[in-house]
Amino acid sequence: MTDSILIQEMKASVLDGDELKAVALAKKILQENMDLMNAMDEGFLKGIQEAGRLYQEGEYFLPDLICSADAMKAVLSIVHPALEGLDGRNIKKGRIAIATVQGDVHDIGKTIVAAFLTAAGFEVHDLGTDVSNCDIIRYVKEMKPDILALSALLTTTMVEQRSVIEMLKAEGVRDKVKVMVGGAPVSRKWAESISADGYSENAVEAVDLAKELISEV
Amino acid sequence: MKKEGKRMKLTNSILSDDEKHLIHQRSLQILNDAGVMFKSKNALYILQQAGAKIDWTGSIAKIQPELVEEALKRTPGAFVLGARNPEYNFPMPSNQTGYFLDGTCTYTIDFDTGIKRYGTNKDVENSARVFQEADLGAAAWASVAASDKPVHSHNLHEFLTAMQNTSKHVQHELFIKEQTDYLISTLESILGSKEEIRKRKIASVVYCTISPLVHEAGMCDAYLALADYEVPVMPFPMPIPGLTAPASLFSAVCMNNAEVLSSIVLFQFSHPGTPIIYGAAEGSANFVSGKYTEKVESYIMSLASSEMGKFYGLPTCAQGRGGITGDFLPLTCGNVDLIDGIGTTEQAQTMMLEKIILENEAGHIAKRFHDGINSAFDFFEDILKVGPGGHFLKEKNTRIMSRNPEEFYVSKIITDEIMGSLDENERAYEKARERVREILNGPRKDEMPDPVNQEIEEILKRADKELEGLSE
Repeated sequence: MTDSILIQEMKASVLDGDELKAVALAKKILQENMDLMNAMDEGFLKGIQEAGRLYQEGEYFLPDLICSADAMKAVLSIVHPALEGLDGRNIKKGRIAIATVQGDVHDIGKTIVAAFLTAAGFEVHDLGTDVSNCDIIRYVKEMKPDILALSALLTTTMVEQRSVIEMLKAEGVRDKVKVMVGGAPVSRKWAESISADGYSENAVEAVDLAKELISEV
Repeated sequence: MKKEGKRMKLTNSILSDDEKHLIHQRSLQILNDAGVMFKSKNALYILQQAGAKIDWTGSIAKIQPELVEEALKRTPGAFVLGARNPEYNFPMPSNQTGYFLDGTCTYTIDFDTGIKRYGTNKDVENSARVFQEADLGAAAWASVAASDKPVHSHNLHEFLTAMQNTSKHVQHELFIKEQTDYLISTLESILGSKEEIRKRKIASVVYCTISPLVHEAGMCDAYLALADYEVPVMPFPMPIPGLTAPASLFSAVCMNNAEVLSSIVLFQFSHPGTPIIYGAAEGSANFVSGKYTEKVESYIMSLASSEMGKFYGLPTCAQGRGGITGDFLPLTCGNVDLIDGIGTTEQAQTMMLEKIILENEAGHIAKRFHDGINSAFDFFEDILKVGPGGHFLKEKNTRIMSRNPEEFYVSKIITDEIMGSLDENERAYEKARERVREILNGPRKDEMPDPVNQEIEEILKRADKELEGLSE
């Protein structure tokens, strides 16, 4: 098999959302000492970019995009250490940590936003749902994401977005990370009132917002 | 993925078996006791030969129950409403409701100016072209009366222009017997022979009785003259409770039924086996102005009447209108074969091209309701796999089913964003306008061969000249 065919397979694996195949191809690159940057640029990243384009054009639906994003995430988890050695963060637009706040188990909105961000080329770390404020702060300190995205679906849990921002201030890391907030009860006004850096109404807006915030970092 | 399962369809009905029998009995009484006025001597003669009691002075035929029963036996329960392009043939009865392009409106809303004006033959052409793209559209009426054509032949212009511009089935009306030759000549020109006219049934006629209980002469004679060609006939009474029918929905349905049955008796005794579509187009009246209107009572009556059609084992057509949110629902869920129709506004007085697109979408929404839930798509395993928490977005079934319109219908016109929004109407109309523009600026579909078009033009020229001065 020639490299170009392999590269096409990498692209297709992400585009098709075939996580198992994407993982197998990522391992193959590492095992056979192939050109990792080329594989990422021309293979996997092209796949996720194409998935994003197809979504924008209405050809791809949300489930397709999620599968592509997860395949991409799986690839990144495998090649991450090797990429670090190659200053791999250059191929990313930035690192984003995303979580549904503590007390809130709603997963889907956060997952969709994470998928969109991944498809847009960000390095996304999904911390999960019902993530305690302390865990979020610890993560920010350790992993130093460029953006922290906080999701809340309930009026009773949206207040945790404010608590996290307060804790970031108290811990002295507020100026180290941009905070964007979202969720059904969340509004631009709310975001401003809690001193968040940005608010997006949906996943598409979230990508634009993330790009804007990254440019300020 | 798809397993053995059952489609749990959303259906509705309004009449019990006992009520259908009661309406039938009432109708027989109406036909036997009050009788029906036939202004056509030819019709009265046919009915007299059949055994009806004729009052020649009053032109009244009293039709005995046994004649009705015999006529019903002679009426085919199924036939194909043929199309110039056989791909659009519409077998009836149908397991899916099809739609008529509504007609024959006096007015139209000009697509370019937005101004209301009288309809023209060009409007017939444009509406037929747009209707061609309405995927639920089964048969076209000529959408407007062509005010720019001679009064004695405008209906022929409309009929033939519709046939030239859609390759689906076309139904229209003839006003006098002398017009039949022009229609038959055209059909022969398109299909090649009279035998093909009988076989293909690409055109049919709508037969409007005049409520209460009157058959006019011209249309009646014209259709009797068509009988040998087995052109399907759709009796389409339009009784209005309180005006041209008793002020009761039940009695209006009885009278509608009596008028349809009287038509069936006439055509089956004239030519046994004439294909009949049982029509129902009851209207309503505004009791202050007396103005004709179509509203909820109209559709309830149409539903009941179409059930009477099914009771007799006949294909059915009921009158309905489709708002954006799917006002076709009761009729679709009542398994009506055809709904008349799409493409009009202002109580079907005004044709609007955008409405063809919009109401086709309303038809899809009604269809989706009717299609219900399918247990063949039983993804129990997915629930076990995902378990508590998490989501199903990544499941293989989700990816496949998100593209299955049988399960999740996605409208490109009345999109999810538009439906239910405050400016739903404006946005949906704008989408529909885009689509109309695209169709009219695009290539014509299934065009007739030039020689046939030329022949049709010659036929119409002859009709314009030869029919002048003739009237009912």
